[in-house]
Amino acid sequence: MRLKSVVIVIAIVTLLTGCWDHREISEITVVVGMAVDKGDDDKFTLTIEGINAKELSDKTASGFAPSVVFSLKGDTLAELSQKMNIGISKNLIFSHMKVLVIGESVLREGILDFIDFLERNREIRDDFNIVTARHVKAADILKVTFLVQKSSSLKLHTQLNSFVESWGGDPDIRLNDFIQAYTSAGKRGVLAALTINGDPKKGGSVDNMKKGAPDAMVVVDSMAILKKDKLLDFLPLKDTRNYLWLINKLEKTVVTVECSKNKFLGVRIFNTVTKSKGSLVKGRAIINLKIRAEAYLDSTQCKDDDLTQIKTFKKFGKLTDKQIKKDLETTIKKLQQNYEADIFGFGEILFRQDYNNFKRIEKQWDEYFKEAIVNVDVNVKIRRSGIRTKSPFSEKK
Amino acid sequence: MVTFAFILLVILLTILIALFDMSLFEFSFFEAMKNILYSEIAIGRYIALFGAVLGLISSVIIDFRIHRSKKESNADERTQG
Amino acid sequence: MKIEKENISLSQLLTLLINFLLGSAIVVGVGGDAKNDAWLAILLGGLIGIGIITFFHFFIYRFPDKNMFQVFEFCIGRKITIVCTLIYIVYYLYISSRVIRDFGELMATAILPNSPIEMMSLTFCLLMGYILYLGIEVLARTSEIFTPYLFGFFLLLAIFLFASGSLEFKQLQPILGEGVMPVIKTAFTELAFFPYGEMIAFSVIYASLTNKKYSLRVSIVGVGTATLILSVSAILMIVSLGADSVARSNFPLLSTARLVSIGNFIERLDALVVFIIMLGVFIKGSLFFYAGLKGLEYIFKLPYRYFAIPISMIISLFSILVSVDFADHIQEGIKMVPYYLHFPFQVVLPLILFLLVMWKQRKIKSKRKGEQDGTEQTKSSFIKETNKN
Repeated sequence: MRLKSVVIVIAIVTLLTGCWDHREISEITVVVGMAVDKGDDDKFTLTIEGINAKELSDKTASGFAPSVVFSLKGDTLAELSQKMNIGISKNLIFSHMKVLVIGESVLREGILDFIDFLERNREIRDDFNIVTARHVKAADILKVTFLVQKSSSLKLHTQLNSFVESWGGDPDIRLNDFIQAYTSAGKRGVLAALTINGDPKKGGSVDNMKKGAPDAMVVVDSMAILKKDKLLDFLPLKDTRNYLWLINKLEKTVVTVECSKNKFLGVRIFNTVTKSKGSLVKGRAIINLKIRAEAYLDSTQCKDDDLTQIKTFKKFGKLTDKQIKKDLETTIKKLQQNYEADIFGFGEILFRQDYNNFKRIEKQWDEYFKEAIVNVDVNVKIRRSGIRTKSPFSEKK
Repeated sequence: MVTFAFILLVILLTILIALFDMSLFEFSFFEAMKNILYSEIAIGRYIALFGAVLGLISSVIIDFRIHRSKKESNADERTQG
Repeated sequence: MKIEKENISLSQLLTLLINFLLGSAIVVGVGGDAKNDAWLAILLGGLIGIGIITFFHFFIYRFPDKNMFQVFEFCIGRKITIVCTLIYIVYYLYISSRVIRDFGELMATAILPNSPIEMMSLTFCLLMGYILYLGIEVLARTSEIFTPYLFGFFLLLAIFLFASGSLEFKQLQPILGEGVMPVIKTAFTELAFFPYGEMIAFSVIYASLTNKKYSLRVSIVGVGTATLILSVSAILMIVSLGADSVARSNFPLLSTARLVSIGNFIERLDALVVFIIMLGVFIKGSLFFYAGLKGLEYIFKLPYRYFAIPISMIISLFSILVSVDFADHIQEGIKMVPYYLHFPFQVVLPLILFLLVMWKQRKIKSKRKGEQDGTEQTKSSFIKETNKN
């Protein structure tokens, strides 16, 4: 009898204890952002942003800083991430990371081998935005506070997603995309580049949140293009949209179309598909891109804008086609001639559709890309024109 | 019969719309048909086609059921008679 | 195949008529060509409408239990009638698709710009298909139940517009500034076909009416009420937006409702307008749909319920395919439909049919006089009744 109860007690103690991995919520700090810069003497400087959960809720907030930003220098991220308690009090949890900022210096040097840690680590999930910092240190990006989301990383995550949805200004790169672009022979990587408008020093204080027009704001500046692990250059935001359009990832955008001198149309694209076909003919890559889109007319400043007439819709549609085609071709040409970097994955299209030929030229794809003939065929259907027909400023009555 | 009506009406309406498009856009008949059939893209096309397929399937099912009930009633008459 | 008899009461007929006439007319606004005097043109159009409904009424009532297609058969035999009926079905379904598309354009432009228009029309048509699968009685009851809300909302809208002080009645002036010709022209070339001529769809509904004694009076009251509402809404549009803005508006009533703002509290009344429009479009689309179904019933001798769901999907598909863009839709409505569809199907064919009926009935009458029998109750006994009325 006594033996029986002892066995039961031991069984309960051993079986019902729960796991060793448990962590109490009060003992952890959630890391929402990570920034990697080049160290001065060491290889890296790792900066993390841990949130101060109390400040994020309106009920419990008492006006202190919403997050704590702390940096350490070292050679591996693995060690640095566990050594943060040099300054930070609680254990760190990385599974809710929203943003990874890679410093411009790191990209220029091409020391991206720390990515292995992020991919290997079980705690880090592939759902954070990867961006780079232009002109400023990556660590500073995490420090700038913001009125609405308070913490910089949370703000960036929302901001980038909204930007993709409304205009297509962020290539929306996740860890997996980044690694695929690195390993693929027929594709080069891109990253959104952020910068700080204003004084980074002032941006770090709580006072920055109290102003309607903040002293410092993190803004999306441009798009960085990479060749393997080296930074090539930054392209303006317009190219980001064209890039998204060419790889069939654009959701919505607004195109400004010139119809005559200093008169413009605003055309909102709300549904678009890009179909791509490629083959190698006589040692030259030929890529055919077919873009079809539906659009609303959002504004017009043009003459002859009687929008109850079919020919007006036709004319505006043609103008839009032309404008988009011109924009896209400019972007493609720029990358072919100035950078020889195939960010659009044309090589991958060939790899899938003309495998045998592509296999032969895989190594010299960059040169072939430079010489590739890219045909862009755009067809935009303007469906409707808002709740008015003519513009009140229309010349015709 | 329902399926027949379905297909017939689809054809007739397509022709009607094609005729209108021909005179409005000054298309040839072939261009007008192309304009009708390729005018929708992406999600939109699939929803529209999904509706049409749904109609076709339902008409086939209804036809089948009418056929079956007719058979049964015929069989009843025979047993009675 | 036995075809069951359905019953519609007079009040249901009244509400059906009102909703039918408001339908898509209130979405896109009618009588715009007459500018300031659109409301006068609508009133004049209403008189024409009363004439039209009276004509249809007398015509159909020579055969109280028959719908239009059966009258056709009476005149020209079943074989030719099948062809005529098929053409009529295409016409009805096409107009139904256009009505649904009108609504879809409104939703896609003003209310839900990011939702695909295909989805809206698909769900809308499924509902129509389901309701008509249940029968015309259900549609009639739906209309009867919701119409008081329509009146209520319309009244509210008018009161709110008045109260928010955005009405300037002097915008109605000059009345008949360009003479009476534009008004008459608009009424006879535009309004006579759309919306009033479209009442041809009711030719299949009168057969289901229970109380036939007062049906003419009720019909006239229905057309009159609808005309009044259309006219008042035209006045509201003009005095609140101004004639120029109305002409530039794709959906004038919606633009009008956006003006309402009382003490920063009662505003954004778009929902009321969308309700009015949705009800009208639903009834109108369904009635054309029903007319088409009745035609199919006549051709295939199967109860029309069998056709409801498949054909509703046809309407959904063609409401999308009917036009590529908004201008196409409008232009088709202005340049094509009145001349190639409305005119032959609302005027020419019914008139021919009417003459045929007269001729045929006279023949039967003279035959009967020749026979001098008069023992059996034949079709011509109905003639006596109608002649008495």
